[in-house]
Amino acid sequence: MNRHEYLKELRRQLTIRGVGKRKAKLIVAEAESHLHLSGEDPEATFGPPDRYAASLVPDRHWHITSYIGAAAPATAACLLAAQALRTLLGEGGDVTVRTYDLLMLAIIVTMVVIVSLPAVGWRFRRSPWWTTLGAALAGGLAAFVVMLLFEDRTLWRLSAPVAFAVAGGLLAIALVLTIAPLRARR
Amino acid sequence: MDGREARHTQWLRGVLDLCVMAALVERERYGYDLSQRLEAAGLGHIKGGTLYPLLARLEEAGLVSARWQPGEQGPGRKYYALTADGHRRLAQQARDWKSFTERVDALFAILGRDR
Repeated sequence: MNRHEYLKELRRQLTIRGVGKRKAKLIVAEAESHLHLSGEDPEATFGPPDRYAASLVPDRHWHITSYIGAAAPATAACLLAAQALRTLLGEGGDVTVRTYDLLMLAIIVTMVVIVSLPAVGWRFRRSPWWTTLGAALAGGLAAFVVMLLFEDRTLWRLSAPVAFAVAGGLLAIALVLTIAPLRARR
Repeated sequence: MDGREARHTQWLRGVLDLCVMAALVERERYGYDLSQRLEAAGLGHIKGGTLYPLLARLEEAGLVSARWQPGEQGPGRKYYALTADGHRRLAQQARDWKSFTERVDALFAILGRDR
């Protein structure tokens, strides 16, 4: 691999790991500067591009995992709080959590995760297209099986204040899961 | 890599961050300049794959700061300088290192007495 090919591959590996364009450009420029001055072989100096990129960028795996973990309680909290508010302002009574509510929650969480993952640095290019499509098909099939096996019945019945308290607890969990990786990166 | 060289590499791994910071006390330096300085100090050739990730960690920890200087001819250079925090950390850890090597030297002194 010549210098040009090495630097091009390094930039690609940095992009895959979610490094912004500007930062990736500076890292590549610094490597280019070193190679220009030393005349050394890129792989002998820096090692393989993927390993060098990995050594420069903090591991985002935990960040992404915990972000996905945070999306579920945050969405559940919002849905629960909305139902509790509707009950308080409307006909009164209890907030009910039904089987299909959980199914709807799973679908919304999947959508939230898919839409917002690029914002936390994930690149879909990392995995082949068929894995994303396969995951979507498996998810759809699982939802269909759940609908067939379980009829829509009430799972829990909560008073509005309890529903608000549960929503608050879920929000706190989501907040901890969001903040923890940011603190770990320092 | 023979046993002696492997031992040197092991020692260096434990103090390379301090050596890099020490090389920045004199003045700000870019990566290649730093590797030259460390080599001149007798520490051997430090590969870019070791040096730059270390500099990135020091920068993230706030112990060194960096500025990019565009090049007039050829690529630019990223200059690193020791921050006030870096100076404090280096001074404290250099004292710890000295105290550690003194204890090791005291233990090794028995070799001279045995002969």
